[in-house]
Parts: sequence; structure tokens; C-alpha cells
Amino acid sequence: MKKIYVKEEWCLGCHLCEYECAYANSGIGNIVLALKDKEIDPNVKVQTDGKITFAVSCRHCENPLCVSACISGALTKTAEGPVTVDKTKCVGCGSCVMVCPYGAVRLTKEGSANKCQLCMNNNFGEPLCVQKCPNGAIVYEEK
Amino acid sequence: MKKYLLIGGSIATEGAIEGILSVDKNADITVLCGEKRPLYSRPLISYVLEKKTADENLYFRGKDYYEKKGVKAVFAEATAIDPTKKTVLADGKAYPYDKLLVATGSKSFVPPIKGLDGVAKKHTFYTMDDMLGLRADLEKGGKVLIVGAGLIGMKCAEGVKEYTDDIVVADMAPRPLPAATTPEAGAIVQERLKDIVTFRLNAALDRFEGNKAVFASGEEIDFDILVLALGVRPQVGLLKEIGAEINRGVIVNEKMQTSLADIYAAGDLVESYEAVGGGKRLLQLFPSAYLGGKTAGKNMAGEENAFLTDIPMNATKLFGVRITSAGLFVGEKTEVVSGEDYRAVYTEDGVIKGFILIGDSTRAGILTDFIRRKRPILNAEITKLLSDRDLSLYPEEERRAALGGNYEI
Repeated sequence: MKKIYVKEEWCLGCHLCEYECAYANSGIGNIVLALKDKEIDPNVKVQTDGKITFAVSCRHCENPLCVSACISGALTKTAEGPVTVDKTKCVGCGSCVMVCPYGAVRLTKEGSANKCQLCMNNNFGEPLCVQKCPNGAIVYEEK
Repeated sequence: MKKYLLIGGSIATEGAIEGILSVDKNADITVLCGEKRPLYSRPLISYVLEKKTADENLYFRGKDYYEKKGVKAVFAEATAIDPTKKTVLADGKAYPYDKLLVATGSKSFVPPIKGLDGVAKKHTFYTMDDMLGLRADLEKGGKVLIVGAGLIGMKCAEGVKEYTDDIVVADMAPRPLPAATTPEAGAIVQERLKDIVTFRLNAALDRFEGNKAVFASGEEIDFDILVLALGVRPQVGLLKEIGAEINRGVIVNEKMQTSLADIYAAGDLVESYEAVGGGKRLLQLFPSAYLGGKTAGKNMAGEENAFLTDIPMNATKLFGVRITSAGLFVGEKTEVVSGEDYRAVYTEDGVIKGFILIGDSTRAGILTDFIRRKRPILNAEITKLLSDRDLSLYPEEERRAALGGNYEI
């Protein structure tokens, strides 16, 4: 399957991916209206080890621990490969957050699990963080 | 064609089905479902009682899970295993197997208590039927007494709260969640819940007199509906009968094999390898059941697989208080209290043995992974692990490989 991969050495640490992600998943068709004066809660987070920055989002694992710990069936490893989240089924127990070794699943303010779904649940096509990364540090490839 | 027979019908069974099918796509699998229901998620019953999720969501993989997987489901309780003929008896019929999984789980523990027989409305809280029975009584109204302030009792209380404010939770222990928390964390939970639930702690139940509970102290509590949440016990009967090695639970190796040929076990009934303590342990946890079942299934289908990363863990939200923990609370404790959040990590010989977080649990999985993989830590990193943990805490090479797609943590 096609996944998001990170080329650490190309990451500028600009955090643009976080804003584009928040926009892509806002359901609002205009980036200004979607983000202006709002605290963003994106599915991708730029982190740093002090020397280099890198954008972290769901790895869509072959054997996803989040899915094996999910008591509600909200998290699913689909036959096509992506790990999806159905917010209507989530009860907010936080088991997925307890087990994801990437820290890539989080609980939203509303209390349900959320994570990167490769922009398959919106109308942007290829993940918007990949499309908008100014330095090609996030790529979407088949490996 | 190899015949796979699974006794159970809950999470370990699901894991085994996935494990078998990952190796043997057209496997001939039969499940004997003692509970006589399609696969559902037991931990969801409190959320259904609480009306936080709909009844049909209990069938968390869809009501047609077995059909979708091409698995034959027989709604009958297994009563005996014949390891010589390699058959299992259920409803008078013998079901043959080449590889057998026993995933009979556990059962609510109800101790003999004087006067219990005279209590009209009494319930345990473990299965879907338990929840439906309790809900039917709650809908008619009345005062509720829950005996047992462990996770089951407390999650039950949260559901019951939707029907009445008149709840008392009693326990012999000095604090709620005695097994799932540390004294410090338990005290915080107790403090946060004290205006929501009436606790009777350090309270040993002596007897019932009709709808009145009498405690050793002499205190009496009237109730209309009683819930006994005194823990669960592994259901090992079928394997005990045929001489499998059993301690508190059924002993299995890292491939989830019992001491008997071609018989595997997974889920709440097993004592299996636990990575923090390094010995065999009765874990009785949802992810352990799923992953143990999956390991069993793979081995049953002929693919060598060892389950060496199982650890105790728990995540829940109780009346709005989030509690997340993993590992064992042993060794040196480092605590941080920050606003509403309490965080403690336990370390020994440079590795994390356990943690407990009340409140924010952001990226707690990184802490869990440190425990599961016995990753070495520097004292300087503990602070970061307790606050803004992220992937920078992993070795650079591993992180690069994982983010670059050449490795899965």
C-alpha cells in the first residue's frame, strides 16, 4: 500500500504540514476560515531531537497495536491497508493511545480517538501534508 | 484438510481466527460459542449501560463476523475434551479437531455470603446478559449497592449513574481501583469521585438480611438492586479434567501451547509470559487476549510465533477521570503533579517497569513501548518521558528506519 514516509534531512521544521492537515480535515473549504483564530489539533506533529526535525503521523502498521487494543471496533485495519477510525463507534477509553508506540493516535477535545487516515476521508486526494510540504520531506509512496 | 476447533467466542477466539487465516486462508474453522452469541466486546457493556454507545455496537466487528471470515459458529457450550479421540463434546455432539484452542475466558466470582440467596435483585457485571439483566432492573428504579470497587465495579457504577444517583460502592480495600492503581493514584481518583459516588471503603461485608447489607463494622445499607463485582476467575475446568498443567490459570508457553499435544489456550484463562516481571502471569486483559489468540492461531496453522511482549496495561475513563497505566509499579518512583494531571513512572536498573497517568495521556504508548521493549533510559530522559514525550526518545537509527518505512516499531 501507499504510505507516508518522512525524509528527516529535508524537514525544515516549518510546521506547515500541521496547518494543512488541520485544514484538510476541517470540513471547511477555505483555509483562512478553517484555521483563523483556532487552535489546531492536526494528525501530523513536527517533533525534534534537538538536531533535526521530523513530521510524525500514523504509520498504518502491518500489525497495528491500536486495533488490537480497541474495545469498540472504532479502529480497523482495512483490507486495503490503511488503519481507519470510526468516531461514531469510539467510546474514548484511550486504549489506543496507551499502546501506539509512535504516539500517533490521540484523543480529541470531544473525547474520541483520531489519527491520520491518509486524507482518504476528505476530498483532497493525496495527503495534503505531502502535497504542501515545501521541501519534499513528506512523501507518499509504495514501498 | 486440517480442522481447527476453537472453544470460546470472545476476543482470544477472534485473535486466533485472524492468526489462523493469516497463514491458512481457506482454513476449516469451527467455533463453539458457550455464551451463545456472536462475537461481541465485553468491555463495552458499561458504555452501553451508560447509553454512551448503542446496543448493536456491542457486536464490534459486525454481527456477521464469523460469516465474513468463513468460520462455522456453533452456539453450544463445550462440556468435555477427549484428547485421545481428538474431539470436543458440546450439546451431545462430538466435534473433531486437529488443533484445538481453549479460550473459555473467565467467570464472575461470587463467594458464599450469608443471606445472598434471599436477595431478590442481584447481578454480576461481566457479560452482555449480565448488563441486560441489570439494565432491566435499573429501568424499574431503586437504590443500588455495588460490592467491589475494582474496575468492573467502578465502570458499572458509571453506567448505573445514568439511572439513579442513589449508588453506594463498597469494598474491603481502603481505596477504589486497588489493583489497577497505586495508593497515591487511587487516593486522587477517590478524591475526584467522592461527590459522585458514595464509597464505603475498608468495609467487609458480613451478611445480607433481605435487601439490607450488614457490614462487619455493624453498618447496614439498604438497597433494591445488588451488584457483586468481586473479580473474575479463569474457567479452566475443561483442561483440568484432562490433566493440563494448571496453576491459577492454564499454563501456556510463549506459543500459547498448553502442556497437552495440539491444545492451545489464550485469553483470560491463561498464565502466560509477561515481559516486565519475566515470569508467567494471569493478565486477563483485552489486548493480551487478542494478541495471545493471534499467536496461538499462527502456531496452530504451522507458523512459528512467540508472544514475548505482553505486559499489564489499562486505559479507562471513569466519570471523566482518565486513568492510563502499564507495567508493574515496582522500583524507584518519579512523580510529577501538574494541575489536574498526576504522572508517575517506576524505574529499576535503568529501565522503566511501569507508569500511571491520571489525566492527560498524550503519546502514552511511547512510555508503554519503553516498558515492553526494556529500552534503556537515562535519568535525564525521565522528565521528558513524563511530560512532552515523543519519538525523539527512541534511538535515532530506529526512528529514522520507522519513519522511512524500513522498520515497524
